[in-house]
Amino acid sequence: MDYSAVDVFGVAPLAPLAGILLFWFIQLLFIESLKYGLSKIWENHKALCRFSNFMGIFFQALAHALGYTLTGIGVAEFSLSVSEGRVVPKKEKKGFPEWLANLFLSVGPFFVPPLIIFCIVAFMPDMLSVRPLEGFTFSENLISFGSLLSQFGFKFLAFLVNLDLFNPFHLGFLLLFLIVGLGIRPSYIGEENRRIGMLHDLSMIKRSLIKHPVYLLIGFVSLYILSYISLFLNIPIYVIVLSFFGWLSVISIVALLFAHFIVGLIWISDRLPSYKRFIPFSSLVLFYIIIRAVFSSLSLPYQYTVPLLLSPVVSLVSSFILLRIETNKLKSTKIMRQLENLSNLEGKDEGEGGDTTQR
Amino acid sequence: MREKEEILLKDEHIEKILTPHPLSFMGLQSLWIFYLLWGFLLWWISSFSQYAYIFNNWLVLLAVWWGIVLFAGVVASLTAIRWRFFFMYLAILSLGTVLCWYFGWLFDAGSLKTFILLYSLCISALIALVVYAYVRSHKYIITNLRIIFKGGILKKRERTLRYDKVTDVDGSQGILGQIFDFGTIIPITQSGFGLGTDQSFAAGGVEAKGKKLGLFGLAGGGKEVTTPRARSYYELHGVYPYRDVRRLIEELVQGHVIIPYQKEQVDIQREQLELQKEMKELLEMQKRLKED
Repeated sequence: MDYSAVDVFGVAPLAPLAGILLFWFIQLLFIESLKYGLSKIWENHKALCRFSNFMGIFFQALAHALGYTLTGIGVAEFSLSVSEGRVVPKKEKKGFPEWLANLFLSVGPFFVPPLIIFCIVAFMPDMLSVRPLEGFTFSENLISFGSLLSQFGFKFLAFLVNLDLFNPFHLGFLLLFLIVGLGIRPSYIGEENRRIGMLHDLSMIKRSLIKHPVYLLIGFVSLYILSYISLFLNIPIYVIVLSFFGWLSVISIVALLFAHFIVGLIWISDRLPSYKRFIPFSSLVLFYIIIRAVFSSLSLPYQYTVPLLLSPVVSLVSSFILLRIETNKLKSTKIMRQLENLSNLEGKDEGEGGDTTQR
Repeated sequence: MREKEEILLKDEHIEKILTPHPLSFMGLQSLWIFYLLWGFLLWWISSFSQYAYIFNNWLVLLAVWWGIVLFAGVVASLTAIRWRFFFMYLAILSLGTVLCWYFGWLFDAGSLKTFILLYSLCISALIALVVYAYVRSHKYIITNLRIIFKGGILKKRERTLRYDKVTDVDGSQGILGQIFDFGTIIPITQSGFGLGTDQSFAAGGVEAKGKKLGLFGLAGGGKEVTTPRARSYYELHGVYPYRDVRRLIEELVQGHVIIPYQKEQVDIQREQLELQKEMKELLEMQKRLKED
């Protein structure tokens, strides 16, 4: 096969980076969407929103502290509160260490929380046995990156759907997963003066990157060198190393989806009257127990997967139906429709009357 | 209502009646939460996990049950510097073991694990009830003249604090407090009520023994820091909503401080003095004009 030298040596190393960027942007969009969801439930669930914010600040401070530690700056003070985190460097270091530490601060919070999940998942048998495809060109490298991502993604999803919620350790893992989803970035909901969103994150990253273009160039050169080493030794280490960040993004996206589901159920619960507000969550638990018990007693296949996937669907659908019935009740009654027509007519009359007066 | 009227003085009215937030006693709550979780976890591990076969021996099951609970008791006691938690867990375990032996379930691992689960449920429910009663026994009545602290399940305690005696107001909020919007406010008085001390002590010993000579030396040192601290009955422990209550207390204390009033008096006197000076000057001018 003929390969273009420009493609192999110039563009191909950029393929995994493009992949990382794509998944990271998806992650950013999900984070924004979750913040919106949290802002919708803030009034009735301030404690949950504050907790989510605290976890975000905790992960951010953790990434910051990690940056200072790895660059040799050290941490002199580490304090956390629900609204802010404080990480004070031990010594003043300018140049590359400072730049790297700042990069950790701006990019780290997106990858540190899923890293915790990854550390747990990595111990599962066969989880990390992935087979990278051989790649020399941009498109081949992109396919290789995608293949690694899909291999890990499928294994990770298979692990998730095989969680047995009757097992306290699995239940604990799911709670941790939810916490990670809720706290990937601080939401600052309820704090009017600190609305930090996706654009703020992007501008912060841009600022820290372009502050020292030489270091950025060094970073790119290092990546190219790694890709050339990988190419000449014919070991796909470059794609594997960069795929790791893609894996973390996949974990984040799934965790964010799970957090979306929970926030969505809370949102529905808030709109239901009296005791019915407990139905979305109680039905979720109840359906899981029933389906799980049926599958276990009949020794049916997929006894962990089916209840885990079916119960949220059933709960969500039944909650939506309930919400529709409850909130549309008045609109559908005959008397209400008559009243609506009447008020429309009155409105018309008043409008005409108003015009006459003006005239 | 009648009780409230009885405690009120002339021209006194109630601003707020507060009780602590249940989560503000998380240390005490964790006693029963841990016991419940551990009982459930041990039952699950010994019945359904891949390590269940280890617990087929009743002695192993009993040893693990005792070991972890006692270890938690030591940790809780060291954290709170109160050995009563350790002895409480010891008493619970002893009672459970005696009951198990009395009913003949001790030497059968199957019965023992079921007993541990049910016993943990009952005991943790009992501890939770006691903790709830303890939390609810606290009552803080904030009036326009004073704060009345009341509490105690068996032994009733009461303390009254007038705002003019408060020199300092200390407030603190933990992470749970920040999340659920509760916090602790300690009014510190001139007599030092509301203050405690943190003590640390370090000691080291050296011993050198020759054939005939024995030498032993000991060096030590201590540190003491005065810090706002009071029993939960004598502080506004875990009050909700923290910011509003703190503001109310600050305003009431400020309203009873005598200094602003004195300052106002001094200002009035100063104005009078200046007026007198001006009048004196005017009179002198008038006198001079007459003489001319």
